[in-house]
Amino acid sequence: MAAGDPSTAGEPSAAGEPPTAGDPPAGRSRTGLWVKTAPFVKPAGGGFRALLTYSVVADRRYLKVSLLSQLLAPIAYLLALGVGLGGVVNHNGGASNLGTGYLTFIAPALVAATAIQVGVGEATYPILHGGFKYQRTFFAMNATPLTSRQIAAWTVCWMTIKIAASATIYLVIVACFGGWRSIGALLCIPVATIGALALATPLAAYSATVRDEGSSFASIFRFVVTPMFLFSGTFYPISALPHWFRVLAWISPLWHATELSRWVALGPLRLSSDIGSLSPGLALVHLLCLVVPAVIGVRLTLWRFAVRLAE
Amino acid sequence: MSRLDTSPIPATDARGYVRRSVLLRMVPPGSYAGRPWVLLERSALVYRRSWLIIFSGFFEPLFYLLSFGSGLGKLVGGVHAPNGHPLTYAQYIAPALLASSAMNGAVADSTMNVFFKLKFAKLYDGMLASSLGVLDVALGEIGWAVSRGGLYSVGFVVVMLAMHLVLSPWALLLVPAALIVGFGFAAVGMAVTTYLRSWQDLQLVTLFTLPMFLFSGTFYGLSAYPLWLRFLVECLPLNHAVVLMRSLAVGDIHAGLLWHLAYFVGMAAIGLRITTRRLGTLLMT
Amino acid sequence: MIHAHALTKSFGGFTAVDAIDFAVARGESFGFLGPNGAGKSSTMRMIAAVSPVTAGTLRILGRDPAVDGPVIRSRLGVVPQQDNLDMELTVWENLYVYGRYFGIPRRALRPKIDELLDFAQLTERARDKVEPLSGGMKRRLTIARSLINDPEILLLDEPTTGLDPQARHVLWDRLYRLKHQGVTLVLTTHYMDEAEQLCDRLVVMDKGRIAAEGSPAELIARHASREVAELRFGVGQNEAMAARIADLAERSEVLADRVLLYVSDGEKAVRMVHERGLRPVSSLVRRASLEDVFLTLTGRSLVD
Repeated sequence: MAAGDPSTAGEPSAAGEPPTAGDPPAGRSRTGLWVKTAPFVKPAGGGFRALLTYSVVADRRYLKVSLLSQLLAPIAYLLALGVGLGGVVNHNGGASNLGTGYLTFIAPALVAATAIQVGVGEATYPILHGGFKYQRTFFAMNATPLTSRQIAAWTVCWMTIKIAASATIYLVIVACFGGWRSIGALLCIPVATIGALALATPLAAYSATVRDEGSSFASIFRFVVTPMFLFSGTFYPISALPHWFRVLAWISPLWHATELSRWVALGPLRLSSDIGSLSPGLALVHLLCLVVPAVIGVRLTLWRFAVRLAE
Repeated sequence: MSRLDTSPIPATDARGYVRRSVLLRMVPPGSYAGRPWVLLERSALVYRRSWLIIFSGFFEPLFYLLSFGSGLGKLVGGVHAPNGHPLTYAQYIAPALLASSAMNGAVADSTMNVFFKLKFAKLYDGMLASSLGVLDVALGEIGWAVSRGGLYSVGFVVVMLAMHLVLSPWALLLVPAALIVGFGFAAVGMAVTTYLRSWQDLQLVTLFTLPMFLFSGTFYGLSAYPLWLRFLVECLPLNHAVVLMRSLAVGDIHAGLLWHLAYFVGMAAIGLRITTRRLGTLLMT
Repeated sequence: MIHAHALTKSFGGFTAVDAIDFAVARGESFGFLGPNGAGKSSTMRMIAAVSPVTAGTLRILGRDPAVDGPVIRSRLGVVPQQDNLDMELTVWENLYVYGRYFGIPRRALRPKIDELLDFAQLTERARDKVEPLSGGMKRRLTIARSLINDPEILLLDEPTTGLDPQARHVLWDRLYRLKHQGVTLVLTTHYMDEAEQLCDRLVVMDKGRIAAEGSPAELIARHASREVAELRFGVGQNEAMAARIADLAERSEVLADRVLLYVSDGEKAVRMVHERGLRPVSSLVRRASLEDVFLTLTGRSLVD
């Protein structure tokens, strides 16, 4: 998945010239996209291995505390709504409505939702507060031979790793409650990760751009993440909502991720309610709706990191 | 500079003496100046510019109401009020969401904001260097948290009325009930905050309120729980608030509701006492 | 105005203030001079009626802080060591809200705030938020804020610590004006120049006790000589050299980087050092200061 690997020398390289990190990013990227990318600078120093060491050491304590605490809310939702409410739904015949138990119905969606929550959390405060504004870790890294492109690329990679890790842990916890019925459920992890990245990478670019987030991060959680969580067919089939909600769902990365998750986890079961069954074409469309924003987001992030670190 | 006022006790003096009323005779001397509203004035000045933050807090319970109210009804089937009256799912969850929004509104302002003011901005030190007392500070801050929760509650009740989710004129008592619920949560919230030591500790607050929100009978009845769990949940505050609000919304008025109210009045009294004592220990030693 | 007798403050097993006596008269400018940890801030907090007295008696404006805390505080102004201005409010609002804490009616506050903004030279910044102000401006605002209730006594805890020299002089100027208007000033500091400039009377504190008391001139006359010769002999040599020239002076001190000779005629002492064939790397003659008083009394320097 990861962003442009600095070790490829395919671009018209500036090898032999001194690093031009001070120049404004200009020109077209080699793929011809209109989005500006950082000029390619020949990397020196420790590269990705150094960044990996840093992340593992710095985040070691944080990973245990913060990652697990980020999972507590989704686990609570799993227990309350999956098991508690699920019991009521199953009892009242909702299971025949859905074609499967309530927990099995919401489990794939909850994995996707958890991944997005973690993704948005990682793309906002750690980047702006930790990286640029208060601890200014990225500036410290930039003062070494590491390039801004490497720093940005690694930030995206590490974010991806954390999202995937939290999705995996969540998957395991759901499995303990009997939420999976086919081995295809394992594919929920990559699906959830790409779903999270579709929102997280553009956000990371945004975090790298603003000086002071003001109340924008809180607003994003309140007015983007929460409504998305509630209106993307997570807890009930989206067909229960009025028509224009279903149209609106097309811009929700969580809805695409949910549809795909249910396709991989429930599709093979061929439920009577048609939940989880997508035509391969439609599945591809959902996938593209996630991959395209993610890729654009990555390029934006590389660009904005370069601009910010060049100050 | 104006001429100095050299009279022994100027007219604008704080009334530093303990008031003669019976209730306040319990208050240690010097801890109450009788001016808690000046803290409300301060908070109002601060939020006058960032009213958007207050405004946005109103939406979360509304989103839950719209989402679950429309979508889950078919799946969940028949639900009932405490007195057995059948309800639509939206009618079932609305009063409970009101209770939790009163809780969240009160807790948000009495934990995170108070923690910041206490430990980082050192604002209470400045206040206590003036002639205010610790009880003024406690009442003022709790009062603001209650006001904020109260605003959300009023808004939510209006929405409930507009969506025909109440079945009785007794529902107008939902607002004062929400204020009392909010007072209980705000007082305990602030008391807890005086014991927190770091930002990570603040997450403990969410660790309490989120499970309460999810497991206290908001979305489904407690009959599914084993007996011990049911007993535990019924001891926790939010369930009391949920049952109280549901009964009021449906018009099921009986003396038992007073027990629920008394629960929150007790919470408020204990929370206030602990807060006042802790502020004294932390800031005036 | 303030009377303290055997005033003691201890925290658990640690005694921060150890049975000190002092008195502050109306209209004077009184200073507590001493290094960090001497007990100055603890004493100030007791005077401000914010911290309870562990033992001894303390009377402020004739009242006991344990009983009449709020009444006393309503007649005091406090400028704390670290500004605790309200970052979420503007300059004007900070003054307004603080006045309201005292219960001052709104109508009375408005002209008062304008007056104080003028005093602090912050009138143009009245509508600005506090955060972007410079350190000196924030300190002036804190002082203005402390005056909102027309206090009889103004308590200042290290008022110019952390400010650049120009800001310090502006602040001293403001404090002089207050003094001339009859406000009693009580301040703590570890800057000797501040103590010499601002204080009528001083108390030198060290480890919770009072080491000496008097006006700056008295203290210097009593505990230090008229002049001081500072001689530097190079790294590691000062100790050895000091032994050889100690007899030239009434007192001598060896510091890490120099030797101090306390004499009445510095030039003469330096000449005699040279006559003995010793060659200091550099030498300097100056008048004695409160730093030397402190060094004499406690054996340590004021700023560690």
